[in-house]
Amino acid sequence: MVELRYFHYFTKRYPLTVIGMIIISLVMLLALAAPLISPHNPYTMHLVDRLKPPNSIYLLGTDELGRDILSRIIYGARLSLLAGVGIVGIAGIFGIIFGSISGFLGGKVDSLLMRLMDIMLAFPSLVLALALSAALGPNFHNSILAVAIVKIPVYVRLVRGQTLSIKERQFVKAAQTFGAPKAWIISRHIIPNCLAPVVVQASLGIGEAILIAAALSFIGLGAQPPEAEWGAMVSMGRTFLLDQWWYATCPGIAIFFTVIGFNLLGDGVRDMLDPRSRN
Amino acid sequence: MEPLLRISDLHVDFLGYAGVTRVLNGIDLELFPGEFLGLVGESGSGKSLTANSVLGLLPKRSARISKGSIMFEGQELVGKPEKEFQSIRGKKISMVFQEPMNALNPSFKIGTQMAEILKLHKGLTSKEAKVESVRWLSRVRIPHPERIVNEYPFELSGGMRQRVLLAMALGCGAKLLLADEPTTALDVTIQAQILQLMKETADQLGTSVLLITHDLAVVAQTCRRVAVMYSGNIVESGPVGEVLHRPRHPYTIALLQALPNPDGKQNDLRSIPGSVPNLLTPPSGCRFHPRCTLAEKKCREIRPLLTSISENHYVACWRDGHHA
Repeated sequence: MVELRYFHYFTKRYPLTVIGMIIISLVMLLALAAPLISPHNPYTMHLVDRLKPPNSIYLLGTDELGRDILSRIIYGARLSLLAGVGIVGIAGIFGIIFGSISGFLGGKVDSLLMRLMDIMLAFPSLVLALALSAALGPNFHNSILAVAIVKIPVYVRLVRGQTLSIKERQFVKAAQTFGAPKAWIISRHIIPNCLAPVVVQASLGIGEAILIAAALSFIGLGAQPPEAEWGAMVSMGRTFLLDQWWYATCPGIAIFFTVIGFNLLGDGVRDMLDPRSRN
Repeated sequence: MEPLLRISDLHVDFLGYAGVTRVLNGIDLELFPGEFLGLVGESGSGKSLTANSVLGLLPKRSARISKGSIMFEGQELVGKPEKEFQSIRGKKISMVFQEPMNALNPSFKIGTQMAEILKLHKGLTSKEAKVESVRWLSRVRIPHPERIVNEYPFELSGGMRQRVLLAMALGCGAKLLLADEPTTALDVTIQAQILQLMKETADQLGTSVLLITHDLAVVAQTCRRVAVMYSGNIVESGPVGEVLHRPRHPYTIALLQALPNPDGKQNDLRSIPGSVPNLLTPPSGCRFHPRCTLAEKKCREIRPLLTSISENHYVACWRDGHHA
């Protein structure tokens, strides 16, 4: 009963966060249960039923090869979630490592790393992701890696800033007087205490990461056909937009809701973990 | 008896954009095994800096030991490589701080933090370290230690945290405890308890304590010897009774006069005119002379050195100088 009361309180206090959580839970459910709930195989072509408008057999219509768009969207949830979490995860981990080392050691290491990050930040993120993705070779996993690399500086700067303030705190000094080695201080004292803003940044960043990954696929530098990826589907459907609106629109709506879900959740996480943004 | 710690002629400089600041100007200090030595002085006189120099924890980029030596157990600590220092810190020399509220990592349980140090220095296994942590917590008289090990720092009061820190500092059998104003942030009743506990525990272990404070009452209660610092110099040192009852240096005398009178007859508190000198441009000669009522020409020109005036009682003042 306590949990129920807490949930009620939570819903009242953060209604948008709850909506975000519901959307994300739905997307996750789609991704996990894709083989069970998708009405058709996403890769099976029904050549007789090409470009059919939404009907009772194909709820969201079919594409130019007669594949069921609903099924492809359901399978596409797997890729988008993987892209969002993967990008933020990779960028976050490297950001924490580089940021804490840079901030704690200071001096030349710090200057070098930070100037490198400044250079990366000077590029528009999509352009840099595009270039990296093209260089690595266009496929879905490389596009995740490319976007992750582009996002690393955001986390490095964030963690470095946190580290600079935490390393002046008394318990870090105390750890030094107890004879703790540097690596120990960074891993046990600095990193655990700078995680809160990283979690906030990461949860706010998933939506954007999904968008960039979809954009790369849209351009053709991410997921390659026949993979069921939302951005790639929008890209393919674009040619048929005037006559077969459902082809590009439905995966577009899927991207829209997923990103909104993550953004709402991210705002909620920030409200909860960052005391400054509490009103 | 061989001193455990012998600091001789220690000079520490800070390098800033405005020039070189000599913040420790030739410190001489001896600490014998099992002894309590009080180090008093106002803010900015270099007390904490002395302790940090002993631990080799001066800010690397801005501070340097330009002269002097720190001998601990017959080893020279000045210029010791960082790696070797790490095995001394926490194991042979440890420190407790002024702010017990911030000296524990907020992200880990008390027991975890204690166990880490025991594992690091004594090579205990996790299980042994946990048992040892509980034992140490009860030794510093924390009630229900087996429950406290599973609590987070924010769940404890300031006095409790200072006990935990004391246990952490002494848990690996430190020979020397540097206590940097350990009771300043605590209220008076807790202060007395912590001091008493520190004294008892250190006595049992034979640990020497360098007690840094600006509270002369604390020194009178706990220490056998006291050294008075002013502006990077030790101006007077000797047995507590001697220094507090027969102070010889004008600064010590002024400091003692500034204490409130327990009779309650005197309403106004007396203060020492002037303020601590700016160390970028320290006064010539004796650094106290601009504030000293007894300053003479010689005081402005030549710096007096610590000189013995009676057994164990040293004063750096020309008035007592046999070295005039």
